[in-house]
Amino acid sequence: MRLVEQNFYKNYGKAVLFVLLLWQVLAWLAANPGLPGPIPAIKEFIGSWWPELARHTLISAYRVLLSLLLSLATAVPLGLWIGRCSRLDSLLGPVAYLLYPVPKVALLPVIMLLLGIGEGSKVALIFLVIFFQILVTTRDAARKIPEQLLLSVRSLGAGSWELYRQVIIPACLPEIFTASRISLGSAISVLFLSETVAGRSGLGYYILDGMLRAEYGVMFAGILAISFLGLILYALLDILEIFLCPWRYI
Amino acid sequence: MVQVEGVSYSYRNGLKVVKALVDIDFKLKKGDTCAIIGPSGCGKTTLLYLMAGLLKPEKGRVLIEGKVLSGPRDGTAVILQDYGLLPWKTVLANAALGLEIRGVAWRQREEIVRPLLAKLGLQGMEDRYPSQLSGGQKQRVAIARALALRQDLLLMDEPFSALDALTREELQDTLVKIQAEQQLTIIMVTHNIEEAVYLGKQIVVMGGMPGRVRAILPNPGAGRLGYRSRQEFHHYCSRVRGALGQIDYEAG
Repeated sequence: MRLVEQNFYKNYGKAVLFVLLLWQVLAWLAANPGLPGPIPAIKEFIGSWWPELARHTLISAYRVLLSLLLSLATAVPLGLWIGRCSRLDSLLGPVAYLLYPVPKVALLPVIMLLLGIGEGSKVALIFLVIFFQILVTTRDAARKIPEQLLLSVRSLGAGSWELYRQVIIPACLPEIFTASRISLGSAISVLFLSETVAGRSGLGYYILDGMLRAEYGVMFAGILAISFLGLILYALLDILEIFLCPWRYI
Repeated sequence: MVQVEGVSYSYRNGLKVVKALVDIDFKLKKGDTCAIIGPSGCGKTTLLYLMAGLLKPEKGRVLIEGKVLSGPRDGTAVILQDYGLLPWKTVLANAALGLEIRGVAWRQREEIVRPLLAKLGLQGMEDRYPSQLSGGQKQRVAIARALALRQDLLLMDEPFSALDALTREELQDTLVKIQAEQQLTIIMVTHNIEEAVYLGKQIVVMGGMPGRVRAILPNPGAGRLGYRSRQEFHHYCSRVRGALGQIDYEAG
């Protein structure tokens, strides 16, 4: 096992331990059945009806991943392009700034009227929220590529496609990963919200349903599942970054 | 080989148009070396960009091998101030970048680049990334990348200015050897008098704002190993220093 990977596992292990400890302290302080400590919650999580929990987790994972991939596939190329073309930036930059602060969550009713209460509206809402986060970060990364680097590669005979492939995309990749991590957090929060508002599937529904039936164990099993989902997705992003940006891990 | 004829250039700084170069004229024969020297801000880097085809002259023209330059030329290698190595590529991939852009297959790229890197003293470092190299090693990779394309004209912007004195002299000697072997035509921009005299058979002294050519000094002894310790060398250094000093006097 390479040192990078060893550290990777060690760090995740420490993080889990730290959060569990913090949780226990909070549970002691709260002394309320609504906030059980980690041990009863984990017991409940392990004892929960797995096929049901797994089904909800997979649906949520599918929604988050689909919307993240859709946003990356659209916002990254657009962001790179705007970032490298100042005329386009002066045209589309203000549009992005105008739309970015609109609270997309407030648009949920509109989206539901337009797309129904199925998968479409949930994915669309997450997409709207994280699209701009990725767009603005990618654009800023593309803007600050050193001009000397571009000139050097142009002097080697690179056309604009080669410039994107050899310089602009790899130079922005680390920031695209940062944007993905931030967006993943937003995506999971927005997903939770949209799942509690409508539908009968996903971890948001599962958690709220547990709360409404006053089954706090079920509720916490859902909360644990959603945090594990986040943890796994973040870990996947980290692994992907080590693989795609090896020059940053030397 | 290279003819710069009446070239002027201005750039925009916000709304202002700033003149950078006025009526630059000089010529260079094939296989010769030329050092362009001048104080900072005299437009010498701009002149190099114009000869590289990265900028277009506002007036006048640049001819290379009799052809008017309209963009980057295939036979011209350019090494810019901070070496222009891509941080995400290994030494091998950086040196092979020009070949990759020209569509040369991976195997062939390796066959061309590996011996070049070895010759420049970078054997065993092929898989490192630029951040793992010293300044001198980075400069060597940049030279390897330029040589890999077997080009006939090499343009360098302050190639050795960021290096310590020992490394600088070592690399200057490397460049002299390569130049003699391959009959490269080299134009370099520098603010270092000793470097200009050691490497430039023709020294173009620039000055002023906007930049103009103040003097063109022939320096036939340049491009020989060991020139540094000759009497002549010091004589030419004083002459260049004199030509530069005059500018300061006029400007002041």
